[in-house]
Amino acid sequence: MGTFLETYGGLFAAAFATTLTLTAAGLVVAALVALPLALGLRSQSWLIAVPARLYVELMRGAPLVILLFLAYYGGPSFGIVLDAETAGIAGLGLYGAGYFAEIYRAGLNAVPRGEIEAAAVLGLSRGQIFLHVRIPRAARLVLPPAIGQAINLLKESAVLSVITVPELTKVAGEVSNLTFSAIAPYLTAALLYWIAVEALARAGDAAERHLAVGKS
Amino acid sequence: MSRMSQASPVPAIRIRGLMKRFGDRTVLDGIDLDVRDGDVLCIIGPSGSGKSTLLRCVAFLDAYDEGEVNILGRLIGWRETPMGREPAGEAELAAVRAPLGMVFQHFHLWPHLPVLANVTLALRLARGLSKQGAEETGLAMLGRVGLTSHAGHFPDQLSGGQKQRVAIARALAVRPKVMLFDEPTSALDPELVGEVLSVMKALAADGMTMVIVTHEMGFAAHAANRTVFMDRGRIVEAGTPQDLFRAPQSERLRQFLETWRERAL
Repeated sequence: MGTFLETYGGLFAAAFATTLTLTAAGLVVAALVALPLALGLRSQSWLIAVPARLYVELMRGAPLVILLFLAYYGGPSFGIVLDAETAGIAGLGLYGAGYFAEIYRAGLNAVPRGEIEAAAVLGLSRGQIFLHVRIPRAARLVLPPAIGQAINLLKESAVLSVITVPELTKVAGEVSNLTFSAIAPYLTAALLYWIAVEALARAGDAAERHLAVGKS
Repeated sequence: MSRMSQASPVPAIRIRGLMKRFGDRTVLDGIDLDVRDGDVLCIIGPSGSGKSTLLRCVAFLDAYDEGEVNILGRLIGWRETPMGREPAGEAELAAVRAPLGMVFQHFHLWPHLPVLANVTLALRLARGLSKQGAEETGLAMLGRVGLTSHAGHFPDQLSGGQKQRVAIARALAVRPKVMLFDEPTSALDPELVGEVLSVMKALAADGMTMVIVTHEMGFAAHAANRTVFMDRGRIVEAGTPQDLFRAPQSERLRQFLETWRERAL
């Protein structure tokens, strides 16, 4: 194992960095794109609600690997040529947005109606209620499922290997081919995923504890 | 009854022919009621009689189907047009609602904000006060309910009685003309009911106009100047607490009071 790490440690470190960077970028895209989507899902107007719902169902209904193939190999047919990393970020982001939108929607709807009514009787406008009551309340409800989804996305980033992104799974596969051994490279990859997942979960716990005291 | 003689010509709340249905169930079946300045009016009646719905229709948290609810002479929630009724706009509803303060059974404090911020949020956002001005008013309101020392606490750190007192301070902060209480003590442990009722009694003694849906017959008997008994969406009897509690006219009220007395023993 010592020589294995000496030889391939740098490769794995770079691949780990790629996995973390692309996942982080994908998460940012997902979390942001999901905001207007969630508002769309809650819209009274079907002209907005139906397309938003359609998007969410399509993203949740298709395997990520298919979406990536479509973006990376199918894109050029529509004049959209993306390098593998960009296609990966877009894929993770747009796919994750479907899940995040649904999490946001559920969180916004879970704010007790009475808290909204209390604000309305006190004369707050709909916009003020949304900004000062519904969103901060929903943020606390949304955090645990959002962390769970972020962890899923991190693990699903392994699929980027199929569109040649040199991330952890791809590099583990290549090292496995070079060394004619599966255990060391894949165990290394697994360990690194586990470390990242654990760090994300811990960060989520800390954020939750921070919010649970009600600090704003 | 001296406070009734001071009543202004426009009642604080005027309700006529109020109808409310949920699906095919009629919850309010033609309510007529005036609340005058300085009234402390308790609404009693069995569960499901429509008491809370009546209060919610007055604040237009539930839209009524027919009839009128006027707050200081202005129709709440609807706008009369030659084509019939249409929903009032957001700003108009807020303006007509402004004289009302409301206290709920389950408090509905905002748990993400400290106690003082719960009280000052509407002062800052709806009334446009500065942070400092809002906090001065907020602390004064917390003083009225005896909770100045809890200004920095979060709602989760309070007892039920304290939460309800904060909710009362929050409602009072925007200086309402009429306070609506929807079963303000029903969610409280018995030993915490007293502290909320004494805050309400102090309010009544200050001359605040109050409409209270309650199961606290003692409070209705002693703090109210008017009592209304509702059953199945209608007002069955109305009068002074003495009238209703000592000389009930209807069989339904007699039964209701009897059940309550048996339970009280």
